[in-house]
Amino acid sequence: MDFITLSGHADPIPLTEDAKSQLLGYLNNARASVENTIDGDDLIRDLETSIGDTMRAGLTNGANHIDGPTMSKILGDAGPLDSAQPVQPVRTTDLPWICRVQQGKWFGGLCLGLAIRRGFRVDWVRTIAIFFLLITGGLLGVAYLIALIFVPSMETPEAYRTALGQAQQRPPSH
Amino acid sequence: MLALLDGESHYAGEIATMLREAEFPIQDGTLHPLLNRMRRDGLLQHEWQESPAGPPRKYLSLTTEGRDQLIQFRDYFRRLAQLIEQ
Repeated sequence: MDFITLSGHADPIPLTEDAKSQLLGYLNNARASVENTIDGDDLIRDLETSIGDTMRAGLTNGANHIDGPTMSKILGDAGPLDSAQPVQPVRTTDLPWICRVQQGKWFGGLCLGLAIRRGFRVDWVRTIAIFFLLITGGLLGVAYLIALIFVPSMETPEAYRTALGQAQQRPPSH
Repeated sequence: MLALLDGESHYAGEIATMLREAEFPIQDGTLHPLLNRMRRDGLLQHEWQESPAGPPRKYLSLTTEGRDQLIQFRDYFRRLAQLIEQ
């Protein structure tokens, strides 16, 4: 029999050694997946509290400790941590000719990306895109959807502008 | 998610239970990153409160921005529903 203290739970929770090693393994993986992210620590704390709640609920149902199979079920239900990391910034040396921009996007962020890249007004780009969408009878829509698969993404317009600025200062990589 | 927090505050565990009751099961591993992200985007705010049983909890509620977004979404959804009915 062993105990573990989880964030948000003052009292240690009794569990078997097997259960403890499963839990520690899970938390280590979770920690590794959010390493170096802004609110990684917060996330782990929230996750620990919530797993602790589930374990406590299991204990109030009669059991006096959490065993291996119960732990597997709890962790299975919690699921892997969806690290939700900000979209990886594109390396500036090989910045493609267009990027999607997440913040302020309407649909996929392609028009916004194009507008930032070329210094156009985004409402004009969107208007023209919608105009062509109608003219081509939706063909542009299909092209847009295909482009969504291939075009990399930037988190904010500022990030894209910064990346563009850096790329201009640097000579092309090839 | 925003609608769950409309006018009331809950902590993550309650949100998970409510979603499960609404037959929308969500895993902790997905829920917490989502809530964190919404907080970072300024849609949610949190406040530590003592709970009747157990540890202090992080109670989440909507910010003005979150409320605005909910109103916008509801408007949009209503229009969409009307459009489909027509």
